[in-house]
Amino acid sequence: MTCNAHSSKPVCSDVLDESSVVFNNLKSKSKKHPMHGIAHVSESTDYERTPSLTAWNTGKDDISLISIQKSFKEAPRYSCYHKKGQKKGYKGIHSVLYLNRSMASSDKKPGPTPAIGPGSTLPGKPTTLGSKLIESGAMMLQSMAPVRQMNLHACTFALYGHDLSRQIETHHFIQRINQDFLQCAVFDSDKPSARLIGVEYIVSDNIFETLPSEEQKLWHSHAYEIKTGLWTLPGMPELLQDPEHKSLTKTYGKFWCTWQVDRGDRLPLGLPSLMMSPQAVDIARVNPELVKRRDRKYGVSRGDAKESRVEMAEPEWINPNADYWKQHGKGFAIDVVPVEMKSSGALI
Amino acid sequence: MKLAQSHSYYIKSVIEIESERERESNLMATSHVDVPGEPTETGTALLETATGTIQGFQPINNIHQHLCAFHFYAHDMTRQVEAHHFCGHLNEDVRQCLIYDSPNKDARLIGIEYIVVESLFLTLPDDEKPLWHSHEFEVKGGYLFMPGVPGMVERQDLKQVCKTYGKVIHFWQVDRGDPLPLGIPQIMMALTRPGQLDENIAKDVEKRFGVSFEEQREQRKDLTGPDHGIHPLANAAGRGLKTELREVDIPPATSMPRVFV
Repeated sequence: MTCNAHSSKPVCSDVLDESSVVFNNLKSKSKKHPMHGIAHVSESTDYERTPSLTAWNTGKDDISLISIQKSFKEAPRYSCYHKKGQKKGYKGIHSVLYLNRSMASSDKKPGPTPAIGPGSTLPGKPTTLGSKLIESGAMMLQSMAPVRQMNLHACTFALYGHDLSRQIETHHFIQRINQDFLQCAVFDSDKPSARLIGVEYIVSDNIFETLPSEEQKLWHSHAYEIKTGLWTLPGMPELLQDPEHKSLTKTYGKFWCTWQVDRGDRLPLGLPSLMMSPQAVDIARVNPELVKRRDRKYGVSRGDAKESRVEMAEPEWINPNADYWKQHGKGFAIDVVPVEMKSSGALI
Repeated sequence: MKLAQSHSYYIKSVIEIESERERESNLMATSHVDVPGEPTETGTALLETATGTIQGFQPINNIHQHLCAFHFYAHDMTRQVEAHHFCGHLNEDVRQCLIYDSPNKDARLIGIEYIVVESLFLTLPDDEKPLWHSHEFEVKGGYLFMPGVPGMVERQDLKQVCKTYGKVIHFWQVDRGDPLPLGIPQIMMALTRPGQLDENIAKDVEKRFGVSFEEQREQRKDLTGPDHGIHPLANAAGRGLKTELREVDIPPATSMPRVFV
């Protein structure tokens, strides 16, 4: 792994592992000789400070654990302080160390950050009156036509495509474009505080059959979750839900999740995850506790729904390219790689 | 019924609202490739009108703002998309937006944007920061605007937006004519320098929304960007970024499903 310094003075000579970097020639104003040592990225759980590097000098100076805070005024620089006691050891302006670490992925745990925590509580201040006033103003003057088209709310469950044991309750707010295509904004609840966690597209089997097989691998079938009562339309009597379900049983969906709240992410981290649907296979059955909780909340019963949908026609055939993991034991993850930016020449 | 009351918007007259929208001038940008499929059947439409009045839509009702801006693909600056953001505040420091390809009712949902203030951006791990972009240039340059909102009101909000960072992911590559959302998600970036935005796209948007980017630039001179300057890792750290699909082994069937806490 190489290590890039941001300025023209390279200071990083080697990367030991994901969280440690060897640095040399870390110069300081007050000290005559440069610092050498190993910097460890420490986890910071405090929103008052940005993540810091903790380093010690293996060179001539007898300076133990130095905490380096990042500061971004003007050129990026580090200031060094003695960690022991409150005495400020020395300050300095150094080149910034940027580790060429692996980039984010949808299935990898992000680097140390206060943005992951128990309960995935949202960081930040409550919305101010000023912002609310601006929003009211905007609402009166602007047309929100696209979002007003969503007129269906469905609650169901989804599984992470790279780890089927991770299961979430989802709230789809759905707009029908035509008889064969629907687009959904997916949230983690149906309250005003709901977090937007992804987008799902739903197509009929007719449309699905026209897709190339490489594309079909990314989609999942809906028959099982609808027939077994996992999918429900909150607030609607079961009888009224019937016609909708009849048309949706034969559909396929493609669901990208952009915020892994179940992992504790307080902010949307990483690349989008491809999600899969519950299926009649052990590893893809939804945890009954999750279902019970949902049923209690909405005063529905999955068991009853399942019974009333028993007569519902099942699709005669589900395309084997969908629910790819079933036949192939493989899920999908998304990575991002640095590339040469394509531009028209004079623009970078 | 409370639900009914809060959705009197729907109950009052769906027909009334529909015709109002029809009367609005068509603000469509590129020629609309129709989404394949049969027209919605009457039965389905009626049912969905019913669900629209009976069910709760609180997360959607939290969306109060329409912003228009331009995105380009993080690996290809020459592919630029007019992006209509419909945004809501989760709190003062975090916003979430649905991105459509037009402000009309037949708009396609093409992506998502999250917007956070600088102090939250700085807490993101270093492998996450390159996926986010700064808003300073497009706000100060006049390219990001709120259609229909007078400049003075607009600037109150843009004062805040100027200091934020955003993460945009698109799922539907409408600019290359895809009739359906094919392929994998794309990380998008925002304008960071003069000369990046295609002139034809710019002129077209200015005409359709009756705005002038240059005028806005003049008016927004006093806005300032992030307090600590634009972070060097933001905007993909100055490089291109491309998403890739990878196959992974599914954990064996014996793994215990975790209880959702």
